[in-house]
Amino acid sequence: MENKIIMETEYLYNRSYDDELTDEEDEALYDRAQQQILDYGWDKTFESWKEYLFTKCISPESVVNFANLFWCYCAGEYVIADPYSFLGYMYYRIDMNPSKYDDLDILDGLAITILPKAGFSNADLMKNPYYSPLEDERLIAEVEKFKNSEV
Amino acid sequence: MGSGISSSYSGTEGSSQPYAETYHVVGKMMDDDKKDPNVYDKTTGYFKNPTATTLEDATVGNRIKIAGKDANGPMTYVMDKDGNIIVGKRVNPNDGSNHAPHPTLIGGKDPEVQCAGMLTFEGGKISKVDNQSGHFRPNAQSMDKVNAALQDLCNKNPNLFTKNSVWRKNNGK
Repeated sequence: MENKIIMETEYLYNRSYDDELTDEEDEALYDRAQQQILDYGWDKTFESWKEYLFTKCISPESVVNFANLFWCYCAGEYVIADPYSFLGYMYYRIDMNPSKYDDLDILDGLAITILPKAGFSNADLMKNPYYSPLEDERLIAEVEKFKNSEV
Repeated sequence: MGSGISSSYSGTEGSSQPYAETYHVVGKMMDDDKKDPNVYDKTTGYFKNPTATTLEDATVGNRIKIAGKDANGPMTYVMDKDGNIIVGKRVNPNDGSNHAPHPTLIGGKDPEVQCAGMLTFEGGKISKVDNQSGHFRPNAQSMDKVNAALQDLCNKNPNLFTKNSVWRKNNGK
């Protein structure tokens, strides 16, 4: 992947969601993310963001931080072709324990947003108000894949 | 205020209830919830979601805070009979693998709301709202009341809303 998009991704994600930013600073980051999507297209941008997640976000806290920033950059608005792999990695890194690591339920929010958008109606709350990522067999299978690939 | 649509309503999967001033939990959903002691107690009814808070109480400066942090992502909300918009986390504190459904934002044996759905936040700012509640299935027409309440809030403090939100665009600030 070319250096410029990697640097841009690092600029967007190498920070803490909990940073106290002004509204203007927040909006500047949002605009910069939208510009990256405009410059490279959603698929290439997402590939870069996912690469950052998979290589730089190892601890549960860093994964939840990534998820919060990802949401702020309006990434939930786009279709993700393989959402289970993306979500599976995050749930794997938090050891399927959102109660311990995810104060804002952002992983749950991502699941109920990006899965229906990608055609997985099992996570559509109107059809399945009881949906829980922790009981989603496809998600559990993805988490197992990541666990089994540990060195 | 009307008496609301009867809880015997079942409808079809994913359909909304006919328009009413207020809504009760759809019969089938309540029947299911009564089988789950982590959601519904035979004596007291639905538990009260401990994270439930009005938007007003959750406002700190120009941000909505949940659990001490800037609210982020979709959260369950209801508009109660008094017109308060109450939001809360979806994960059930009694059972982390389960969820706290919309009725738990009110609690009790027969919670009644004017509307319910998901309210979406981005970095502590309100960005979107819908009527996606499988428990209350409010009619889309009831969204007018929610939109009016949010527009009123936006007129008072536009900085509680994302710059691309419909309310802020209406407000022109």
